[in-house]
Amino acid sequence: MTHPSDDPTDDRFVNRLFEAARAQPEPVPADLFARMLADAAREQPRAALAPSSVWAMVVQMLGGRGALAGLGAAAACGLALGFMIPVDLMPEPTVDLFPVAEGLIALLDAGA
Amino acid sequence: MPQMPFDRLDTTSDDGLLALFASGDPIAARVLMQRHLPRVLGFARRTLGEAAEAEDVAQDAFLRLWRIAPDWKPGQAQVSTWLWRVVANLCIDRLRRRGRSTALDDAPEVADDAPGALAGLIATDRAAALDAALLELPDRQRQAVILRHIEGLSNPEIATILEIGVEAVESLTARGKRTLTARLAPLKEALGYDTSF
Repeated sequence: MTHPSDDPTDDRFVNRLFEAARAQPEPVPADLFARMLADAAREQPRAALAPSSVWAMVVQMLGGRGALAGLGAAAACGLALGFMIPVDLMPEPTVDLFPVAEGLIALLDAGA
Repeated sequence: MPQMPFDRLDTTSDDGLLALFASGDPIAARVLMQRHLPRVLGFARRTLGEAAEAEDVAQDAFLRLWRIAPDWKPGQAQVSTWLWRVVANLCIDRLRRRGRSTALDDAPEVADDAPGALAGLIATDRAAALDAALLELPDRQRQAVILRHIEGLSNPEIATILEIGVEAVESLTARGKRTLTARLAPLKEALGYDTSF
């Protein structure tokens, strides 16, 4: 087994070797750096895209494309209900607002 | 997101850089690599004694860092410590696969009369002599010595990286340094050192 060195210069000598190693940064091969940058680019989460137009800003303000689709569907349903509801169920002022619906229902009745 | 100027990134904390990377900054990864890659690569090379394997380990460690970046909790751990630990473990895994890893507790000290494969190397290159002597240490002892005496980390930092107690680190570094000194001291003159310094 090793015996502790009694010579203080031995310790200083090894410390010099450590200092020299510490002072010499490890060279990084350029191809390794490039490979690792490619890894980083591949693994990087995609940044949220900034709106590119007024329309994109509006879409984003309304909650994105999904929310906009839902909003459109809800609007279409509301419109359809407005046209299809039986006139008898509508309050009088509303019937006045939907003369087209009355005509449409009359047409449907005639068809049946 | 807008790209931060490079000089601003250069003074940004590691946590900040990792957050920027996770939010899509294209430069943050480069700065993190410039900051940490040389040291962890050197650590891996000295631990494994193999430049190509060390490159694989460093690449693997950073790949893991990029993957955890979105979930990184700033302040919970240091990026550098995390990297050192991953590299240390990847190196040990490789050494185990080679079948030459030595358990922490049964690490033998080097015999006085061990022949020097070392002696042949030493004649010309001090760095090579140190690296060769390091490779003769048991794996964990070698890692502790490199982290303490070459990378200049504190014993508590090394304890965190190697996932052992501070006392174990003190023991590993003391034994490792003693063995290195016994191995290298006879070569002082051959390496061109003035024995009077």
